[in-house]
This record gives sequence, C-alpha cells and structure tokens, in this order.
Amino acid sequence: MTEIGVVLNSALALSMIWLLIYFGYRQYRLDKFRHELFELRNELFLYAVDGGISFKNSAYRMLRDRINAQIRFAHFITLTRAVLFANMHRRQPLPRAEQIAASWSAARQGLDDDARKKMDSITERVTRTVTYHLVTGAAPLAVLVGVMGILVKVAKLFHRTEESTTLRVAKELNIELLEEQAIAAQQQERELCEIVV
Amino acid sequence: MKMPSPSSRLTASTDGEIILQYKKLDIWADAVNLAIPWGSAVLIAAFVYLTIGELAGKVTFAQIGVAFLGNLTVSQSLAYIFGGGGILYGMRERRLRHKKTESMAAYSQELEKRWDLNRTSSGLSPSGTTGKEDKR
Repeated sequence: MTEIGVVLNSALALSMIWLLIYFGYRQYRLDKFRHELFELRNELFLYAVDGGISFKNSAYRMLRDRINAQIRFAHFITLTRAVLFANMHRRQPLPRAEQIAASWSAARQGLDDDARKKMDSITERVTRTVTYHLVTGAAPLAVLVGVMGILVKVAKLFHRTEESTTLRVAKELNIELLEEQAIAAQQQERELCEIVV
Repeated sequence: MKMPSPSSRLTASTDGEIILQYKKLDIWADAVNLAIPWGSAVLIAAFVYLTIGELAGKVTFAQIGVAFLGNLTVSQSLAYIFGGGGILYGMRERRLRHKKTESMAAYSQELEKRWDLNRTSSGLSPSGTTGKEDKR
C-alpha cells in the first residue's frame, strides 16, 4: 500500500510540473518574445518620429509589417516547423519568398546611409530575437547550438569573421523562411480583405 | 467589390500546389506540437490508471486515499503548497499584466495614429494574446 501512495504522489508532482511548463512557462516565453519584438517596433516608430525616415517610406512600412507578422504568428515559430520548412524549401522554394526579399532589397537601396544602417540594425535584431526564441524553445536544438557556438568561436580564432553565432545559426536554420512565411500570410489576408471591401 | 490585381493572383497552378504542400507541412508541424504536451499528459494519466487498475477488487478507494495521505510527509505537503501557490500566483500576475496591457494598448495606439495615419497593427487581441482567428 505504501507503493500506491508513492505512485499517486509522483503523479501529482508530475501533473504540477506539466501545468507549469505548458500553461505557465510556454506562455511566458511567447509573451516575452512578443514584448521584445514590440520594443523593436517601438524603436522603429520613434526613429520615424525623430525624422530619420518617413512613415510613408516603403522600407519603414515593410519592416513594420515584418515585425507585426512575427508578433502575430509568434506561436507558430517552432523547431518542427523550421526543420520541415527548411527541408521543403531546398526542394521547392516558397513562391512569395523571393518576391518579398527582392522588394525589401529595392526599398533598402532607396534609403540614405543613416536610415539604411538603422533599418539593417533593427532587421538583424529581429532575426536574432526570432532565432533565440526558436533555439531556446527546443532542448535538443539548444544543445546542438551550444556545441555549434563553441565550434564557431574556435573557428573565429583562425579566420577573422564579423558574423555572430546567432546570425550563423539563423542562416543554417533558414529563419528568413519562417519570417517570410509569416509576412506572406499577413499579405494574403490583407489582399483578401481588399477583395471583400 | 475590388478585383485582385493580376500580380496578387497566384501566377500559376503550380504556385497553388506548392502553397498546398507547405500547408500540409503546417498541419504536420501542428500535430507534432500538440502531440508532445498532450501525449505526456496522457502518459501521466495512464501511469495512474494502470497502477490503480492493478489494485481493482483488492482495495477500496478509501484505502487508496489513506495510503496517499499517509505517504505525505509535512515537508512534502509544504512543498506542494509552495509549488501550487507559486503557480496560482504566477497565473494571477499574468492576468493582471494582460489587463494592464489592454488598458494601455488603446492609449499608445491613439498616440501612434496621431503620427502615422496608416499605422498597421500586430493583429493580437487587445490584451496582447494570440487573436482568436490565429488560434489552432
């Protein structure tokens, strides 16, 4: 009879841990991730308020939309999705991805040096934030990236490179693809709204 | 009613097929992401069910209850109160934060619109959680 007590005790403790992880910690991570993106969006807005870029500029609008898309679809940024999409993208690129990348590149070219630097800095931090969220959300990936980080640091001793480990990971995991998918979904919805209106 | 511009339409049926393939992957990813938490919950339930099932007809529920409570030490009970209390406290703090976000969101939205008339939104609910249409 003591065994049944031990089993029930363990089950109760496991249930509490389960509740904490799936209804507490996971929600907290999502809120924290969105908060960091909101801060970047706010930084972009304040830069425009200070006259660094016009609110009507296509680069401003695109970057704001990009951040908005990440905030909105943050709950879809998972390791499973990243791996499946990256694998699929190698065989069959997402139709809108190239178009989105080309429009961003064109909009960026039209900016003055200061604005371009600012836009690049915010874009880079968005990618870093998305990558960090993705990596820390999956234990196996976190371990893998930890090992990769050490290897990159060792490689940096021999080859001088400015690229950070996070950005390297972002490139390997094709984070841009997840971002572009979110933007495409947002654009499609907007077009659908325009048709209905 | 406005018609979609030619560029916004899918360029070819192959584009539609590719998007469909991505949608299928999306469903797979959702299935995996749901299977992990709910699968572990089912495992915990099965673990208890099988243990109690073994004792079916041999002991009463009252005896099981006594065994459970008898197994609890004072320090264990305090740990449960501490853990459970912590979870409840966290949930209430979270609810309060969402209420605060809801009250502040309208204010900042209004201020931003004064600068940017074409201001675009993130599409989250006013309390800052995932919108109903985006939940799966």
